[in-house]
Amino acid sequence: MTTDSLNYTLFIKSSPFNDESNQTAAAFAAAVLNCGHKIDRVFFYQNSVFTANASLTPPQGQTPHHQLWTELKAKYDFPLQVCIANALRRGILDETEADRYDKQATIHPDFELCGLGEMAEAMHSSDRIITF
Amino acid sequence: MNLIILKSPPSSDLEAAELILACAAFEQAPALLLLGQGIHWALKDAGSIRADSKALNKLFSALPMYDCEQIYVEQDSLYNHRLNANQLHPFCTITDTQDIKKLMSQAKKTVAF
Repeated sequence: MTTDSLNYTLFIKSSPFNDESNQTAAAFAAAVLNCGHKIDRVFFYQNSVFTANASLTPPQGQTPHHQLWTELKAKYDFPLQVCIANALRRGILDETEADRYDKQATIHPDFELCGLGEMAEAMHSSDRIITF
Repeated sequence: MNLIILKSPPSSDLEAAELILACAAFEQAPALLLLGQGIHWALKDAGSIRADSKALNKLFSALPMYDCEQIYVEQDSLYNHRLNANQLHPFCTITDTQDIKKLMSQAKKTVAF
């Protein structure tokens, strides 16, 4: 990281099924990282939480929406945070919540359920918040 | 100062409001700017979107108690939606395009819904 590097938080709201926001955000993240900046976190809110669904099974020749992020995370190691309240409403559960509600976990293991306090913290600590 | 812009009308789960309240809970109460269909957030008689959801007007009227005291509503949006200031919560400030430019330029971080 250079001395001029910035911390970015990406705040994603759109469903990955509705438009290209998810792909645009991932491409933006890759560009930011290639320029020597840092991704503080990617925060998935509202319908974007569907990106974290581990059960996504796209047609042959297409990649699941979460793969863009898991590949970037594997290379650069930044948190993929999913708003817990928004996720539970939409059936995205981790093991803890699945046990609590007697359901099955559906979240991809590279993503984590987090409270909105994480986003409030990002609003304070990140140099830039970019909304998709 | 952080700024949250509400451009979309209220949804049944009021998720945009949840972020506002979370920021306030962490002592970072943002300024709010309501534009376009987002001005419906500020209507005094805005009830629940869904029968089993929270009443929007009760939630919105509580914002000053959470130190969210800078709430701006764009004048042109009110006019375009045939609404007037008397229909809004009294703590809202009607603002014009010039003041909105200043508000946006002063904001350190902006999130739009």
